[in-house]
Amino acid sequence: MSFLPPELLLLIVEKLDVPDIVALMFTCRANYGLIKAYEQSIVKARFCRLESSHAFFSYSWDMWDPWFPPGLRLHSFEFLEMLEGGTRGRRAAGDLRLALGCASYVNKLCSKELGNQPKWKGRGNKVEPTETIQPGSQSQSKRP
Amino acid sequence: MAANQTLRLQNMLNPESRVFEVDRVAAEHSTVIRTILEHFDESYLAENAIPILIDVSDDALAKVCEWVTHWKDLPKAADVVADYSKQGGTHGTANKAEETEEEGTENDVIDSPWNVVFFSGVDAKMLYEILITANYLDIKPLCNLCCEFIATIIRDKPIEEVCNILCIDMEFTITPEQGAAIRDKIIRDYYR
Repeated sequence: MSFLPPELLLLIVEKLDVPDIVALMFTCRANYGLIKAYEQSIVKARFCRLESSHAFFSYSWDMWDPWFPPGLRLHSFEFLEMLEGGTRGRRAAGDLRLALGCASYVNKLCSKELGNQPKWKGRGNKVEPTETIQPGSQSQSKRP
Repeated sequence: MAANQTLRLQNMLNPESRVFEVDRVAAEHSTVIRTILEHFDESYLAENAIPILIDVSDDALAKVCEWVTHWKDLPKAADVVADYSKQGGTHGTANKAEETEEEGTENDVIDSPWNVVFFSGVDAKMLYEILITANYLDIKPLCNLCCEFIATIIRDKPIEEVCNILCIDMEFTITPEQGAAIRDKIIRDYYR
């Protein structure tokens, strides 16, 4: 059987969840290089699908910027996994308000514990504990 | 050219390939065939079959013809683009409504039970050939559908199984001998 051309492999990758994409990445060097090279495009395509399925509101870098810890990129598989994990969980719970609490969800995930942890502020290496997140509450912080 | 005219397709890489007859309306799902129809004379197309220049089996080509014939009433991707250009390419309310309608139609295609029956008797090799043919003829809904099916097959499978399905040689697998060599090297370098 012949190999699939790269453009078709990328089409298939766009329809997979992040754990399956990672599994596909580790099948061979060529696939790893291909998927890593097109990571941004794949993640953007998935964002569009999330938007079109009304499972996620419009995103912009400005919106996410205050909540982003250093080292986490917007168009990365790590971030996509966080978002999809959030929307999957909400879908399962039947809550169609969906990702409105996604920003605080990302923040909670990044702070490693769901308890009272200092909030990440800014994208630099300096972390300033400005407020604490109460479990179950949504963040209301505005961009400085 | 008459709207109900049939077109003939033949795989030219295989001299023994049979000729497939498809309705013109159905064949227009393919952007490639649509372009050929725009640039070639009626008389030429009446005498000659449209050449398919990829190495796929007749069964795969027959499957693609069956799919386009079944979904011939589905709005073509090129029509949607043309309508959008005619309306000036602005994102008005009417355009958005139309887009939503088109998306709904394509989603209906993907979710249709007919497609499940269509792909039920298809093995992995045939599925690849259908995908490669759809990609060559630029039939976007069929391409998406095949990718969706392959993604469904791959989903939640371990890496070894994904390799088997996609016919990939696992380069990252370490044989016991390689593992022993790496272990010896680590011991030699760090624990001597």
